[in-house]
Amino acid sequence: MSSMSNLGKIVLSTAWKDLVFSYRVWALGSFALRFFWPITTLASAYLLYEKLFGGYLGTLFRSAAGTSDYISYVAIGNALYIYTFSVAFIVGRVSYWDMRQGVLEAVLLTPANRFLLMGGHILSGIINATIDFVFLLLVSIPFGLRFGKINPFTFGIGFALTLVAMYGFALFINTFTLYFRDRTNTSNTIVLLFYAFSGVICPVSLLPSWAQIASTLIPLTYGNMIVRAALTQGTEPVYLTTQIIVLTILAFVYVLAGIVSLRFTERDLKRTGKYSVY
Amino acid sequence: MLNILSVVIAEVRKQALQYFFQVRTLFWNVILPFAMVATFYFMYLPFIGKGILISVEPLVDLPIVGFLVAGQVIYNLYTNMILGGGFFDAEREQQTLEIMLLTPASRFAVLLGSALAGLLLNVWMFIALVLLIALTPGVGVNVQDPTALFGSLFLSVFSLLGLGMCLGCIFVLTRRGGQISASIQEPIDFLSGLRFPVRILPGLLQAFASVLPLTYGIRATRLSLIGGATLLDISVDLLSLLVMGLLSMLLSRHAIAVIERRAKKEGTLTLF
Amino acid sequence: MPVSIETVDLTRIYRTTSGMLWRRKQKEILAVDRVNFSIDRGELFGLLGPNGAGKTTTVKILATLLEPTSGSAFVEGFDVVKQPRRVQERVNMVTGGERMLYFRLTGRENLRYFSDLYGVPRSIAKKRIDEILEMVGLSGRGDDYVEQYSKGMRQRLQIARGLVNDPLVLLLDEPTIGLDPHIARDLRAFVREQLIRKQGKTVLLTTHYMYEAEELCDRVAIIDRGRIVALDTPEKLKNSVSKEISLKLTLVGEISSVEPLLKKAEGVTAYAFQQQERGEVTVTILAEDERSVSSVVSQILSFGFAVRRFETGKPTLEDVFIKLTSRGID
Repeated sequence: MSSMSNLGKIVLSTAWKDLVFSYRVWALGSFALRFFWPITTLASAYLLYEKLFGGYLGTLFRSAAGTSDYISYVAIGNALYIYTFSVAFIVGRVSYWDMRQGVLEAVLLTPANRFLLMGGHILSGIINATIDFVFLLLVSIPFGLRFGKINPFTFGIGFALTLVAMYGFALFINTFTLYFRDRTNTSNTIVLLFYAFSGVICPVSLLPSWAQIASTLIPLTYGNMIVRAALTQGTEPVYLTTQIIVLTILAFVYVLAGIVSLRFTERDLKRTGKYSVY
Repeated sequence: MLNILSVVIAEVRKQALQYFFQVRTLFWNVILPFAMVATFYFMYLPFIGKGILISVEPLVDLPIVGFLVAGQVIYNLYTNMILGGGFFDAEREQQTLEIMLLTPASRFAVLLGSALAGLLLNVWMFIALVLLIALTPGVGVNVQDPTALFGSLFLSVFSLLGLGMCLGCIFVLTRRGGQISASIQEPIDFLSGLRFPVRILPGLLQAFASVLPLTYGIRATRLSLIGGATLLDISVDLLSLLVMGLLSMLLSRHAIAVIERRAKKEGTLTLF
Repeated sequence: MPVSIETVDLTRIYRTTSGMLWRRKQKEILAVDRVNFSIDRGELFGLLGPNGAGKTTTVKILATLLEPTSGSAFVEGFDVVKQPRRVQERVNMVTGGERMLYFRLTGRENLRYFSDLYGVPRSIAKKRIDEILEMVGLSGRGDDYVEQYSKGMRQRLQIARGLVNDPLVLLLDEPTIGLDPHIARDLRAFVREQLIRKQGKTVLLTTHYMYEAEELCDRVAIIDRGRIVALDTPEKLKNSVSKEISLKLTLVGEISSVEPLLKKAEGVTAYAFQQQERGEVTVTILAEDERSVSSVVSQILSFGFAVRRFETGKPTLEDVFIKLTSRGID
């Protein structure tokens, strides 16, 4: 029991530290970024739809997306993407940020389980993302967001599996940014690629064929399909079996890659001794 | 004058040595622009097939890929200028900012050197993107007046240099410089015409867009590179870029002295 | 006493690269070279040597932050490579300098966070943090952000961080570097009285201040260029040169003009130089006896060197180092 509470303490303590830190350090920027981004995203979609194309959607969109409600399509896609962004982008650079502050050694000196440490970082990312998620949905309503029939169970499956996959992805990005000594450029780029290719703004079947191939490797692609179906059509999980199975496999692969990369990170640091080279 | 030049060169050299041959530069200057163009292109796909033309005032139809790529070229110049200003953030973290300001070097020269270094990181990417534009089918490079293209690029760089120097001042003033810069990036992206023509913005937002150098740089480059515009066609844009560049450089020259004094008074030079 | 720390042929090679593209070169640096020592539980053991000798590398291997290239190291019986978690539960490390703390958190928040990472139960952690802050003299500033602390305060908080898990073994890597003399003195007293005498911890202290090693350590290993050149109690080490007389001169001149003279001087068993500013050089000489001292001083004066400062006395650990390596520690 005490060992379980110890494990929980590592996660909660790390999440608490990150949240306190981010609000003290990033308060202004964090708020502004999180205020502007959902608004400009939805506004872009709205302006394209209403002003540039006069409310006309291409004929293929309806059959590809299963709906002609473009704004809701974009809003829901962006809402799930927020978690990807928060977990992968923000969490994916914690080790490098620790290195820049000079505390990486102090953290790795402790016996704390590294996966739980990362779990704590991810929990703080999820908390921040949830605030943004709610804000985005509220902002989307005046732009035209409409929910159809909602199936919470299907939503839960899609959401949870996507988060698990993003946990693995965050571990991998964390290694990448630490190894290449880069805080934002690489992670920024990779999450943007996720944004482009995973059906957030356009049904995958409308993308060029090379982009469709890329999208099959991104968990968010299937997460989007499941969550959209859950929030607009109330689809039962049994009708999304293929997507759920693929997402589960991808989640497993991403987590495995993340575990391997996390072990690699610490091993590499012990081998090279580059705790404060940046 | 010679001293200013030597400081500028020293600053450029320092930043280039630190940041030029790094993997992240490849991401920043090649993969990220590609990802952005792909994202914006995919935004249009629900409405059209391929081969859409976008009308821009004066009423010129531009192919969508060329429209987006030409805008991305100037946008990347802009982001590299921000990067130049962001070098001060790194200086602050490494605690070398106060050492820099310990020297009698012209602050204007330091700012200019930093912004130029950001540009230098972009040059080879720019060449690659131009080649991409030229070689991509359906993009349709259409340069009728090379002086127009040269003018739009040169003056875009000039005005963005001034903007980069102003941003550098903010980074010296406060450790929240990075946040401020990141915060305004999204609205600037939205207003500048990078994703869609500025004319579809509501009137008030178009007014905001009109004070951004990026807006004019993107428009002028699009028209001269893809739209076959002449120097006369884009003269208003070029003049706007020139004026904005001069004003921002003058502003940064005067601001940096005030800002430095303030930062020293408040003791914020070593905080990060 | 049971053994707390043991190294067996511990070796560490750093591989670095320099240059870009076709000019890229790889280089190997032998930082620690077959180092063997053991430390008993409750002992204060010193690792003394100049900068770059391999002290920090050795300490980081014991802290599990670095892997040895070959050889092995054990802390409280656990292998640092194969059983790192076991070692981490029993060890903590304090370094000189101002890092290893979150600047945007308060002192107390930093300690609380690291307590959690070490798995210290909350009920114990709260009490312990209060006690530790009191011990290091920060109880009134525990709720201020670390970025507002002075250098000395940050160093004291570092020591507090080093004690949050009540480690059996404490690794102190140049903990007094950059501190004011009176703060450094207080810190040394704290190490001696609190950590060793009261709490019975095993402490490995690295330093390049020989007076610090002499004052504090039960035993000292002198390390140079990755190798241990001597290991014993400070007294016994000094006794190895006790028959000799230590002489320290500050002359006006260059090393190149003084050295040939000392090479030929009779009765000089070892010497080391340090070029100072303003055209001065400090020479430390170990001479066999008083007659040799008179002889070498006369020769120096007869060659026209102006002597700015002259000290003589019993040999110190630095003299031991000079005799073993023909170099000064600084």
